[in-house]
Amino acid sequence: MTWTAESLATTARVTSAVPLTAEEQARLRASLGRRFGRELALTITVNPRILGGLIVQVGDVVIDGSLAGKLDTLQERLLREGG
Amino acid sequence: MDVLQNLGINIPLLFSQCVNFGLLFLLLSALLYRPVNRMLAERQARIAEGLEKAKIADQRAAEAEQAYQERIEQARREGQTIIAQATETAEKSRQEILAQAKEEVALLKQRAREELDLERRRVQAELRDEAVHLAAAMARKVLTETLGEAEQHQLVDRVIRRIGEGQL
Repeated sequence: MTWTAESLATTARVTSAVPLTAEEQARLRASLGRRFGRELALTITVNPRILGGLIVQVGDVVIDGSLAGKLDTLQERLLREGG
Repeated sequence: MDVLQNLGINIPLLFSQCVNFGLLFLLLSALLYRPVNRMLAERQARIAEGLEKAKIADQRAAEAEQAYQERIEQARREGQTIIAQATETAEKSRQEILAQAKEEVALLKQRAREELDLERRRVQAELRDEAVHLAAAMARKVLTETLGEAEQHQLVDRVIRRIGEGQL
């Protein structure tokens, strides 16, 4: 077994544009449990600058499901393909 | 005889005068006539020689004149050849200079087109980048202003679902 920051992390750092409801937090914990194979505690930060969606960081793994991230990706692709 | 004497002619004198005339004729023939004839023959020979020399000189002069005319004609032909060669060389140089000038003009045009195209592409890229940044900024502004609480939670729910499905 390889010991990585991801495999050792017990907490998921979550950034949301709006405060998450308890039900959303529960479903997020469940989804993360299926994804990483273990229970993770959530540390939630509200940041409207991500526009919408969520950013989840577990160890070195970053799951960017934010609208700001999608916009950045789209903008970078347009700039790259345009050049 | 008496008749001759009556006419005043003295026979012996006549005879002696005839003899004297004959002697004088022989003497003059020997001393004067032959040298004069020889001198005239020599003079005639000199005149003939002079005429021959004059004829030769005239012939030589004609030959010299012909040679001179030939040299003049040859010089004229050589001059025409030189002029033709110079004209041909000048025309060739003119053509070369013209071709070189055309080539340089074409090169300058090509460079100008390339620079223009490069500048056009640079401006297009700048405009495109600016448009992308502007569009992104407008999208952020629109999303910020239009997404309400319900839409935000719908987005959160979708992200949670996709994380669970392994799509993110």
